[in-house]
Amino acid sequence: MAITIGRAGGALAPLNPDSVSEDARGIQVSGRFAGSTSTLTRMVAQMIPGLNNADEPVVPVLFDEDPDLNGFYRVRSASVDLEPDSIINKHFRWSVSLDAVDDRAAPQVDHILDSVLRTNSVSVTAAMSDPWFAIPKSTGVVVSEAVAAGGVHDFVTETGSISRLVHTAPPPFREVARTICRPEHWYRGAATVERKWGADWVPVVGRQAVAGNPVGAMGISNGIVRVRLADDAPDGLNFSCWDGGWESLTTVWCRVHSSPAYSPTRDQTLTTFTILRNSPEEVRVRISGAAPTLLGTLDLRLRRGSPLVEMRWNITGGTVTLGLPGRLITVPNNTPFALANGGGGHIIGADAAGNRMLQMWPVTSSNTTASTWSTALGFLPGTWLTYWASQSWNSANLRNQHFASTAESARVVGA
Amino acid sequence: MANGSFDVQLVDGTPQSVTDAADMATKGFSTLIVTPTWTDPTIVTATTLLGRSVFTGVLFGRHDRTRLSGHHATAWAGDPSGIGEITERTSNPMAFNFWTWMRNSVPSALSFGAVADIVPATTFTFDPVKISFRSWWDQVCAWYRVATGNHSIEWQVDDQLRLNAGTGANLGYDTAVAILTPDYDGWDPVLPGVSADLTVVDDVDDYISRLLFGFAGAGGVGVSGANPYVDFNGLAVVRKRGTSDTGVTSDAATRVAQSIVERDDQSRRKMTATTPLFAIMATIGVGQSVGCWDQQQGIIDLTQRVEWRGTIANPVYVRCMAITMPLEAGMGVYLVEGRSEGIVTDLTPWVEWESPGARIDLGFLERSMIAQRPGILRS
Repeated sequence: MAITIGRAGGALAPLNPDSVSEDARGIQVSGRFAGSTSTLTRMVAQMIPGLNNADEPVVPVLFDEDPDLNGFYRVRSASVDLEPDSIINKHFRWSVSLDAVDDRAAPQVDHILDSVLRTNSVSVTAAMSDPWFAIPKSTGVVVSEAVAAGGVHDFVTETGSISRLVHTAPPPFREVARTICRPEHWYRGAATVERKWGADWVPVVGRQAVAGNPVGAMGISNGIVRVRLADDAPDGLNFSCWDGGWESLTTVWCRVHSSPAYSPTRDQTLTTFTILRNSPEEVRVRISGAAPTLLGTLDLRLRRGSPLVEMRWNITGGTVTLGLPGRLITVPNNTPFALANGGGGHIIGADAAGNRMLQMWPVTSSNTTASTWSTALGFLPGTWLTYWASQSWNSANLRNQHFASTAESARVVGA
Repeated sequence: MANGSFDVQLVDGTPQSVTDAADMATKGFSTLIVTPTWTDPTIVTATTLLGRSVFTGVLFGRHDRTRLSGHHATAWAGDPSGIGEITERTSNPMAFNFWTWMRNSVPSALSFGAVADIVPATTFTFDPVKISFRSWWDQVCAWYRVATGNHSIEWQVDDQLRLNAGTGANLGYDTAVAILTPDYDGWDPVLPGVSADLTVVDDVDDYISRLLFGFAGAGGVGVSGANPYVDFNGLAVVRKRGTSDTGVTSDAATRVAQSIVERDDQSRRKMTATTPLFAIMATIGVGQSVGCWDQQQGIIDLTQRVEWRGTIANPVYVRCMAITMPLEAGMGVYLVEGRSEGIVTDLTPWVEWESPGARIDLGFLERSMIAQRPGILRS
């Protein structure tokens, strides 16, 4: 018998319980994990305790032998018993205690959406902005009408189909959209923090597990766009977009400028990777490092269904004049553009599949207009996919979606 | 403003030489200082310790040798029984601006700190006779609050034994010092996060539709406030409060009454936060404003947008009205007997430390600190 609990388990590291006890409230499962390598053993030893976390109080649980038990469960406790030689000997015992939520096979889910117009120095108004949110495409999905009024569009991501819903009301608003989801569909297009274990990139469970050296080992993805700390280009972030395969790789550096200019140029180092939030609807991570004598923190946010990664770069510990965004974000082979109603960026020429990567910033600046920031800069690398061409989204559409910033948290309804 | 208080329990084995420093016959009114980390008082002066203080109290009592109690330094302006510095000037109405009124009423135990003048400068004609400095400050602040329409004007005795006064912007209360939210803790380039459980209560317990206010002499005024409420008969709700304060002079009475009505003619929201954070008073001071953000509980204000920890937070900005902070191992606690140099007794090794869990009482920004109870040090 194999079991998948939230993001733990699966083909790479199957969890095979040797004891399943069921009562009126829920189930307790425990077993012995025997990994094929120490790396896998270490991975699972981090995953299981991570299940008990505030970002995902309720997780889908799947049983391959008894699908009647499949459903959403609240994690009551999750632990592993590590002994001195557990990792070397590649086995340990684990146990997880789960409370079933009411109507566990397909419960209702409240998506709490707080949408505001992002403060901007360009002239994007609330009416121009396009708030949206995305849910996993699931059998029998029900959506409250107010939210779906702007249309429902289905997309295929690396991890399954999602439905992207467009609001009609301009922000600010709070809306609670209710949907129904089946447990096996919950992680479709989910925002994910990934860590590389050996040769495999695997979702991180909870906020605890981070690599000692994140370079080349950590990343975030939602199956549409992906950011990974590059190992081939130190201090760089590799961006890529999905259109049936990962395409359009480009590398971005956060380049600090001062007056007089640093020579050679200096990039913020990517030393520490912290998970600020790790839920299927949204992940947020912070990458800190020296920039170059000051402290730089780069916050990345990625929502389910987003073609853009929202980034916020802060410099603390002193003041530098950060230079032009066009120099901050050094991308080879790019074409600068300026948008009507403000904002600008670069488009990297279409790849063989016709996809284009773009980088934008929500301030009045084209690539060639001088503009400076002393301590903070927001920008958003993203993709303009051929996949999405049916929507005719261009960079201005993407900008307008970005400006309707929506904080989202999901709550499974029921005790 | 009510005084904060403290209560410090020492262990049974505290040496006599230490508890002698709290001998009430000769050492009453000594100064209790709490710092977030311990500093060896043999290598720094009492003034340095005071500079690092996050809670400064005045020793008022001792129970069973090892339990010390007292009030926050605000007590120098008048303790709960009304004893303190009372002006002995004779009747002679004077017209001063805000700064001068505050400058003329500094108790000898305190120093004159940052007092801003109120702009636009308006002269207040006032004749304080036989009233405490606390009442003097309250009346001056109330008068200027109504005169300028700026309800953030108030006074404060800080932990460095200074009298400060001015608007919220002058006193630094307008800028949030932290964001309280259920599950983030720690440093952030924008604002620190404080992990806290938030609870909200809305009530109309203290709502009044009209205040009847008696003041010095035979005078009285009635002031009505906003009234959005109706009773079962469809008539406006009547909730009058009668109160009098013979310390308030006729010059200030109408505006003092109006200032109370403007505070109490609305429903009141009280929030409390409990946080396990160590030495919370080092992060958040009583009177300062903080943001509270809990999306799941609906503690949000969509008119507020702050780029915070990778997202846009919509915090509700509120003021910290009171903090009840446990004394936890790692802090420093000292008793200073006033003298020119200050004789410092280090209580730190003898304090019976408490477990984490500070409570923060939060109130809405427009609400005044008057009649609130700040800075309680629990023990």
